[in-house]
Amino acid sequence: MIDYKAIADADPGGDLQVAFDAMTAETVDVLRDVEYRMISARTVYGLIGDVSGKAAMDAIKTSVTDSDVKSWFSPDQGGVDSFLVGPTFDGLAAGGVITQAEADLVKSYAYTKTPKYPSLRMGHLQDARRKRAAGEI
Amino acid sequence: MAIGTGSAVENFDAQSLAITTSASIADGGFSSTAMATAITNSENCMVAAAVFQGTFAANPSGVVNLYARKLNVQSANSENTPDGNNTGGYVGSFPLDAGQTAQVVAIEIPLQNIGASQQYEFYISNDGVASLNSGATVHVTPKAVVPKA
Repeated sequence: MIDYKAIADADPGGDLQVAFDAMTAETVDVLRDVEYRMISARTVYGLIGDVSGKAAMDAIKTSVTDSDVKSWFSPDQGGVDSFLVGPTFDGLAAGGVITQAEADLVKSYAYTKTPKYPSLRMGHLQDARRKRAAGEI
Repeated sequence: MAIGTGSAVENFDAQSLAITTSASIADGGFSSTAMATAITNSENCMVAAAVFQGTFAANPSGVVNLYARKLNVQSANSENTPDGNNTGGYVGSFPLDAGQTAQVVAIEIPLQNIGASQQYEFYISNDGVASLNSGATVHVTPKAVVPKA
């Protein structure tokens, strides 16, 4: 189904082609399947750098109680779910151990970007504008 | 070879202008009610010829679809206007020449009659990827099979 109302609501207005290009460029974050969200401690080091990476790991060792996060330091642990450790890294950023940008980078492993309007065609936007102007939607 | 008396041949009603696009129609878009001229099937024909004429902004790829919206099917109530969610009035597609921007395509379409002298509004949707320029037309000619005199 074509949701003309939602399209009209999201329409940035102005030139049709420019508005269409802007809408088709928009993306949303979609949670990946768990097997693709797994992230290792070594990867975190690579993402946020040795200095803050070590600081983050030290902070996790000493202050984070979440068992999933603690399990990073188990000899046979290959990784943890980057979605589940998101709040932990937000907390580390809030505490100044790492930056929020570094926390977001770690969390980004949990998501994939997909088009917000994957099947939008320019005529849909054109029709949505006409329907909105006519008071139909 | 001459066609013998009594053979099935076609008779044609007058050709009527059904659509004139007053604005461009982007890919996936529909013509509007304002672009349609209602046609009355006064001879109660069951089929018609339809001719699309139009020019695209670039060489198209695909088809232009044609829809017949039946008017006054119950008292003054008419079918809903065709759009991307309401395509039940589809009567045919004009296959486009991918090597040209200017198109003239003729097809045969069914005419569903809910009552005598059924009225229709015709709509097109642009499924040709390229934008259809303003000024495109669709003409409709009701026709019937009759015995040759």
